[in-house]
Amino acid sequence: MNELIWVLDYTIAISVLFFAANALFTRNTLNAIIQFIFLGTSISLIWVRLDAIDVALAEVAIGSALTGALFFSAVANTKNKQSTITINMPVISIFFVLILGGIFLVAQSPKSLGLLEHLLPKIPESGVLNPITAVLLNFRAYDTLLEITVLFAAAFAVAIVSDLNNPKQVTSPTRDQSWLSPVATVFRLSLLPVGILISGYILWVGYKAPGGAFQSGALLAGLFIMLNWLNPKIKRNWTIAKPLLIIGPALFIIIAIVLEIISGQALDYPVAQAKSLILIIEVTSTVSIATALSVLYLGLKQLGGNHAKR
Amino acid sequence: MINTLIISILLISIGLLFFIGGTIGAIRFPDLNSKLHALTKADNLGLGFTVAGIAVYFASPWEAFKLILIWAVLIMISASVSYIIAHESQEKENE
Repeated sequence: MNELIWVLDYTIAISVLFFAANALFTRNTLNAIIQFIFLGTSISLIWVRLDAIDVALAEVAIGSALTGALFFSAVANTKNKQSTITINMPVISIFFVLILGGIFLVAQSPKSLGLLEHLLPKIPESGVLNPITAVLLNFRAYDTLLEITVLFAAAFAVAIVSDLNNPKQVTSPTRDQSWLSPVATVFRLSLLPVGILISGYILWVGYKAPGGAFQSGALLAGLFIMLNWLNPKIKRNWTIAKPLLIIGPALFIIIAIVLEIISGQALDYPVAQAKSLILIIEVTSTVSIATALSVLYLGLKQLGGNHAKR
Repeated sequence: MINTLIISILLISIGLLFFIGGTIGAIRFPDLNSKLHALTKADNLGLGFTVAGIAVYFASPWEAFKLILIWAVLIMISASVSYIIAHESQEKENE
């Protein structure tokens, strides 16, 4: 059984390298995006093998699916679909062999428990049962705050550059019927509520099992993007999006400042309140992440549409 | 015990066959609509067999119920997404 697992691990490792090389060196940009999506999926398999299902979910949902969609909407509007990268096969092969050798060497070294032995005794102090949530939202909350802020800044930049602010959004008259289609009705009546329920579950289950704000937010954003495709007439209301976008990072920073004043340590939650603080941050972050990802996608799509018209 | 393992391996292998069939269809079929047809039909069936295989492996009604729910949601999502793709390509042709 053990040998079979090693075969699987090496297959995943090699496929990551293979797709990364393909994504970089293929001449067709559409092909490169597809290879990039495969790369993300293979990387998420590595996370699964490392027992970090949380990271695997986030990687496949945001790193692979949503980023892939962003790339697609960017490339769909570029004229030049051929990349001009020259391929230096000998150099690539040497790197490939070196990296494979490195993987082999790492695999030979005795298995380390990593940070788990330091982490596990501290779990009761964190307010949650899932070690990954404990690290992300408590012990290294600073990192997560910065991540959310980066996403927030990116979404704002896209919203400013694209015409999301523009109240006159052009929809072609032929598309007005699409909301009446049976697929759209089924989506609205069953898939949408079920999806919102699932994302709520993913958020809540982060307390004791893989799940959390990023995974849940990505699911919500995906639902909203699908809704947008099924009904292009839906109002993309920037006045509503703005506060939703701000609430996550703002509340996170407010909590940090209040804790700094009370205890002198910015993100050092008191043990008794840790769970409720984490819950508040997770819920508001989910709302902000979902909004940010939707704004990124729809904004870039709109930007592309404007360019095509010129 | 061994018997359920064999059944689950068999079911997952059948599922993989359908996945391979769907992928070959997506690559080799000439136009977008037939590609989507291959992907949605064969992959959903392949996923069904895979889910059945995993359910047999776990041998727990509760897990089986959850797996079937996942399958049902995925069928609906893939149907909706392929509708969106086909619909958009039709719109592009009409323009």
